[in-house]
Amino acid sequence: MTTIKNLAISRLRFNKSRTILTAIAIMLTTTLLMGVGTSAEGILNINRQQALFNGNTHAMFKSLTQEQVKKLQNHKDVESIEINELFATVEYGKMNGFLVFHDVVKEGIYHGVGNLIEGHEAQKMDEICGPKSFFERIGVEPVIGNKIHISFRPGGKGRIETREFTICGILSENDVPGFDVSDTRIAYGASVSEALANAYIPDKERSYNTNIRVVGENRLNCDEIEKVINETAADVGCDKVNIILNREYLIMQTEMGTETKAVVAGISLIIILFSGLVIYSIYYVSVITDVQEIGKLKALGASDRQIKRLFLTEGFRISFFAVPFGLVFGYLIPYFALPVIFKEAMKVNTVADEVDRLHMFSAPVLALVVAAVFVTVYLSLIRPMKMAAKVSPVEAIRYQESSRRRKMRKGNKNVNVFRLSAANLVQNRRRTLVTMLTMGFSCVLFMSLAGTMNSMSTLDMARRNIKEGDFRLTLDYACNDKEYPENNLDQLSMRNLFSDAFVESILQIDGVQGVEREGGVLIGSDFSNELFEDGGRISLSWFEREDVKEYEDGMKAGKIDYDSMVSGNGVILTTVFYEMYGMLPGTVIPVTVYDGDRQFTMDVRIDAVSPVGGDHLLLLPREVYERLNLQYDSTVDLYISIDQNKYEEVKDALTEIADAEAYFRLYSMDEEMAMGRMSVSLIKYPMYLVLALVAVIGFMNLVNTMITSVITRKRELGVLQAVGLSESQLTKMLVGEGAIFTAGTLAASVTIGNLFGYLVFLKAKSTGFMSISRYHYPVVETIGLTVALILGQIAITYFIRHRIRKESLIDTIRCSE
Amino acid sequence: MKTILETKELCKYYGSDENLVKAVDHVNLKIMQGEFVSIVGKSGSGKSTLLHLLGGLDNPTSGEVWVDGKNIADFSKEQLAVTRRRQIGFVFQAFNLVSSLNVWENVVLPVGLDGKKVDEGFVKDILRTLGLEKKEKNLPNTLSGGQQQRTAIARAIAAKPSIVLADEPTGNLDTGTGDEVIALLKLSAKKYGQTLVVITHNEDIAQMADRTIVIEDGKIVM
Ligand SMILES: Nc1ncnc2c1ncn2[C@@H]1O[C@H](COP(=O)(O)OP(=O)(O)O)[C@@H](O)[C@H]1O
Ligand SMILES: [Mg+2]
Repeated sequence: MTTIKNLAISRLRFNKSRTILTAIAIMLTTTLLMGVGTSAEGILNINRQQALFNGNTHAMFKSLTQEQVKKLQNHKDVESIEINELFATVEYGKMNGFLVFHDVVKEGIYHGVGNLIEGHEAQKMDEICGPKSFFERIGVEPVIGNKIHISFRPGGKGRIETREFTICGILSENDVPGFDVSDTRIAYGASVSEALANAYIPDKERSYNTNIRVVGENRLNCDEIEKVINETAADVGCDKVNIILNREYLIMQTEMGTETKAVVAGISLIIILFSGLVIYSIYYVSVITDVQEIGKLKALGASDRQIKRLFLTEGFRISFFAVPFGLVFGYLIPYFALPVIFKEAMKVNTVADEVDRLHMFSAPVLALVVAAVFVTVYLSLIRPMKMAAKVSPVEAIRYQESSRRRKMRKGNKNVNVFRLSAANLVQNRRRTLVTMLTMGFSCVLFMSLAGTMNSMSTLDMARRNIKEGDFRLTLDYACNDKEYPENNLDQLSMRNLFSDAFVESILQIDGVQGVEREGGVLIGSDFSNELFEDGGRISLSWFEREDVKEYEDGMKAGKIDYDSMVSGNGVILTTVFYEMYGMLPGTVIPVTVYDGDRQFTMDVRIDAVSPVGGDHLLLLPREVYERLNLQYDSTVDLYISIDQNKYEEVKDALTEIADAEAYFRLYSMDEEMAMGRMSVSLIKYPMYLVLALVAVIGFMNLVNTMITSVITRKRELGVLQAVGLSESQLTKMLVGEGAIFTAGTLAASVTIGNLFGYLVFLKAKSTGFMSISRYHYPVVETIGLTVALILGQIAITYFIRHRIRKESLIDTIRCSE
Repeated sequence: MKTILETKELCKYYGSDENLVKAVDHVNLKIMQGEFVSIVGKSGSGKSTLLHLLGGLDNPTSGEVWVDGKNIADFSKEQLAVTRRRQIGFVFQAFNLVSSLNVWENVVLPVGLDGKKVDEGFVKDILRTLGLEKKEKNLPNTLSGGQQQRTAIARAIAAKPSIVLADEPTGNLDTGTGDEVIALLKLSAKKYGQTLVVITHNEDIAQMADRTIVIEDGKIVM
C-alpha cells in the first residue's frame, strides 16, 4: 500500500508537467461547477428577496369572522397568520385614506413595505402608527409623539368621529412615484390599536382580511400548495371567491427553484461530461506513453490491481490538491461578479429596489461539487486504468510507446520536416485523434452557442416592443378585469383616447414625421378552451398584405393565402400554444366582438399559426377588419416616427402626453435599445465566461498532448538533432504538429460547430428565448476562435521549444544510453 | 594526408570542487582523412564525452575542436546543425532510429533535412551493402537489434559525410552480429572514403582499426 502511494507521489513529481496540467484541468472543472452552483444559489437568493419584497404570504382569506380566525389558528396546515381589519375610512378632503387594525396572530409573515422602522405598534386607544406620507398628507410632521386630529367613519359607514391621536410608530413605504398621479388614485393607510377597534365595532360585525402561510413551502410545488390553501379555506368555511393567492411569490418560491435547478443541472452535466472527457484524454495519453514504465513495474511483479490503484492514487492525490483551489475560485468569482451584474440588471428592471447582502454559500452545493469532481475523475480514470492493467511485461522491453499491429509504412522517397511531423501524428494517431476530438468538442460547443448568442440582437429585442418608428404610445388596457371593467379595452375604446384631434396634436409636435395607428378589439367565444373560459376575452387585430412575408418566416403551421383569408375570414394565430388551445389551422371559431357597448358575432377561421410577437392573439386581413365597421375607434397603439435630430425634444413632449393620461404608456427606442443591450450582455458575457473556461480546459488537453509527445520523444529528438535537425527545423516540426491539431480542430468547429449552432438557434427561436428571430452568423466569434487557437498553438509551441532548449542536446541523447 | 579532425587541449569538466569530474582532460588528437580509429577505455573514462565533443554535440569546457580545418567554436548553432548533417554521421549504442519513420525514411532523413534531393541509387546501394534491401518499408520496431544498427549505419553514411562517429555500435549485439556490423561499417567507410571513429570494448574490433586510442580518466594514454 505505502509502496504504491510512494510510487504514485514520485511519479507525480517526475511527470511534473502532466501533474500540473491535470491539476489545472481538475481545478478549472471544480471552479466551473462551483461557480455555476454558487451563481444559481445567488440567483435564487435574489429571487427570494424579490419575492419577499412583495411579502411572503401564501394567500389572503378575505372577510373572516373572529371564529374563523380562531379555527385558522388551530389548523394543522397553517404556519403563520396575520390579520388586517379595515377599521375606518379617513374623512379629509379628497384624501383616499383608511385606518386598519393589524395584528400578528402567528409569526412568520414578512412584507416588503409597511414594516415598523421607528417606534412601536399602536397599543393604546389614542395611538396611531403609519407611513410618513399618511401624516404628511394630513399636514402633520411625521415625528413620533406628535399629535394628530383625524376624522373617520368606523366601518366606512355611519357617523363621522373625530379623535386626537399620538404618532407612536413610523412604517416603511414605497417611494412615491416620480410622475404625477392624481391624488385620488393613491391610498393612504395607517394602523390603530385593537382597543380602538374593539370600542367601535361590535364583535359580530368584525371582518378580518387574513394573510396566511401554510406549512410545506419547501417540499410542495405550486399546485400542491394551492390545494392545501383551498382545503384550509374550506375547513374554516371561507368562500372560494374570498381567497386571493400570492401567486407571484408561490411561483417564485416553488417553480423558479425547480427551473433554476434544472438549468443548473443541465449546465453542470455538460461541464462534467466535457471535463471528464479532457481528464480522460490526459490519462489516456499518459497511459499509452507510460507503457514501458508500466511494463517494467509488471515485470517486477506488480499486480493488475496495484497498477490500477497506482493510477487511482495519482488521480485522487491531484484532486485533493486541486479541488480546494477550484472551490475557492468558483465561489469568489460569482461572489464578486453577481452583485455587479445584478446591479446592472436593476437598471432595466424595476421589480425590486434593493437587495440585501446576497447569500450564495451553500454547504450542499459545496458537497455536491466535491462529489461530482471526484466521481468525474474516477469515471475518466476507469478506462485508462484498465488499459494500464492490461499492459504486458513484454512491453517494457520494446521501446515503442505501445505495440501496434502496424509493421510497415508506405512512407515517402524524400523526407522533410513537415513529413516528419505528420509521421509522428500518424504513428500516434489514437492520441492525436482523442486530442483533436476533445479540442474540437470544446470549439463546437463554443460555436454552437456563439451563433445563438450572436443572434440575440438588441434591435430585434427593441423591435419586440416598438414594431416600427421610434416611439410607441400604447393603451394600457385589460381584457378581463371584472372588478374594474373601466380598464377593459371595450370600455376604454368608448373614451376615444386616440381621437383624430389627439393624433393631429402629436403630428404637430416639432420633429414628428409620421404616426401609424394600430388597432385591436376584444373578442369572446363559446369555443371551449382556456382562453375563452369563464367569459375570457382576447384581442383581435389586423395585418396587411405587405406583412405576409414576415408572418410566413415565423410560421409554425398552416398557410397564408391573403386573398382566401379575405374571402373566408381567415386569421393568423400568434401563439405557440395553438395545440394546447385546440386552435389548429382549419378550426372555425364563432366569436363575439365587443365594440364598446355594442356586440356582434362572426366566424373566423384559423388559417395559419405564426408566433412572431405582438400583443394580439388573432390577426385578420386589414380589409376584413375594416369591414367590421367598428363604431368606436379601436386604436391601441400609435407608432411614431421622427426626425432623429429632434429625438430628445420629441421624447420630452411625448412623455408629458403619456404622463397626463393614466392609461397611456410610452415606449421609446433609446430605452428599449438600452434594455435590449443590457439583457443581451447579461446572458452573453456570463455565457462567454463559462465557454472561455471550457475552452481553457480543452486547451490543457492540447498542451498535455504536445508536451507528452515531446517528452516521450526526447531521445528521438536528440537523435534527430545529432543527424542534423537544426533548431529552426525543430521549431518548424513542432509548429507543424500543432498546426495539424489546430487545423483539425478548426475544421470541426466551423463545420459541425456551425451546424449545431444553427440547430441550437432554431431551438432557441422556437422556444422564444430572448426574442431571437434572425440568425446572425457569428463572424467575430469565428475569427476570435481562429485567432485564439492559432495564438494558443504558437504559445504552446514556443513554451515547449524553450523547455527543450534548456536541456542540452547531449542530455537528451545520454538518457538513451 | 589531410587532417580531418583535430582537438587542441580539449577539456570537459563536470561539477566543481570535490565533485569535479574531468571527463575529458587536455586531449590533443589528430585524425587523418580516411583513417579508421578505435577508442578504447574503461567505462566512465570519458570516451563518449570525447566523441560528443568531436561531433559538436556538446560544448567543451576549454580547448578547441577543428573539423576539416575549421574551429567549430566559431559556428552558429544553425551552422553546427548543417555541419552535422553534411559532414558527420552518428551511430549510437541504441535507440538510433525515429520510430514513426520506416527504414528508408530514417536513412534519407539527414539528406531530407538538408533540403536536398535523395540520391536514390546511392541509398539503394548502401541498403544492399548492409543487407536491408527487403526492409525498406519496415518500421523500426519490427527490426532485430542488428538490423536496427545496420539501418543507423546506413543513415550515418547516406549523406556522404566525411566523418562517421560510432559510440559502441555493437554494445547491444551478440558477438557474431557485432563483428558483422563493424565489418560492414568498415567496408562502407572504405567504399565511400570516410573517416571512421569507433568507441568499443571489443578487442577484436579494436584490432581491425588502423590505430587505437586508449583513454584513462579523460586522458589519452596511448
Ligand atoms: N552530464 C554529466 N554530468 C556529470 N558528469 C557526467 C555527465 N556526463 C558524463 N559525466 C561523467 O563523465 C565521465 C565520463 O563519462 P563518459 O564519457 O560517458 O564515459 P564512457 O563513455 O567512457 O563510459 C563519467 O565519470 C561520467 O560520470
Ligand atoms: Mg560511453
